[in-house]
Amino acid sequence: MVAWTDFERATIKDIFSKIDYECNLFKCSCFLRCLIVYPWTQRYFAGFGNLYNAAAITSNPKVAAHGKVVMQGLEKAVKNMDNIKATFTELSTLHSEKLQVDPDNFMLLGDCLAIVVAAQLGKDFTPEVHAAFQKFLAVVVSSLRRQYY
Amino acid sequence: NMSLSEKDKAAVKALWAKVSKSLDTFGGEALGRMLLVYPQTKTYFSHWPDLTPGSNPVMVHGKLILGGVTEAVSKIDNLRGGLLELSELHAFKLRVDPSNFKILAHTIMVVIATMFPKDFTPEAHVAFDKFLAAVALGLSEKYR
Repeated sequence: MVAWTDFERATIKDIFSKIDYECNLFKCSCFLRCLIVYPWTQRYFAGFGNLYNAAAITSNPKVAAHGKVVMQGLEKAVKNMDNIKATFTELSTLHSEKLQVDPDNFMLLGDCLAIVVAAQLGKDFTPEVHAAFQKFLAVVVSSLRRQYY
Repeated sequence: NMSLSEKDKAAVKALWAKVSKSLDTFGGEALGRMLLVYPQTKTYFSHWPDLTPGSNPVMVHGKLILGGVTEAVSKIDNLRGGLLELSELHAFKLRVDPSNFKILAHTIMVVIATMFPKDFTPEAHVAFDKFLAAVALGLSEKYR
């Protein structure tokens, strides 16, 4: 079981309450950013249509929809911070056995999420807040890797 | 080896021109943040009296490191050659495990995102990520 300090708990919940999902100002979806910054991740989304360049990815409705699915998954972790491992057992099995996603990709997406959150929170994304968030990401990634054999 | 296009180089220079205006504090901010968020990196600075964000050794050394990145920007057309001296320093004297270059690169980009959210678009992000990866490669050149 992961031990969370009061500060870490409050910080994670606070960050997720502030994340703007529509975020049209600079299209801040972490999933969208991952497809652009690490284009090899597009290999899992052959059915998404036009992912030819940054502009196409940014305006692709399937990308936007899936960005929301990803965030909903993370919200589940926020609601179950004391048992993220169990909460993600099914998702881990899904990514391993059905989707067959290389688990190294989880940290790529995590890094993009950190950048997106940093951009949204600005100076409120202090080193201490960042450290709490990075710990959360590490637990999420570890839980998603758990069912890979 | 993912080489930088002319578009990438232009994006890096434009972004760094903006960052350069805050170079006095930016480096310290990035280094202090890295030491806190990735505590394993503290092992390279066990000889410092204070490793907390904002402390004097952190601010002074952060500025030094960011000076190195500024130098890399100026040598963007030949990073491998331009970083040979720095690579020797990191390989033979500092012996920083190259995995840490990626960690610092990410931290630098997080700080950029907090300060210039509108400028750090996905396109600027990928160009800068590529650039810092190329810098890391240049720094690793002399390792073995």
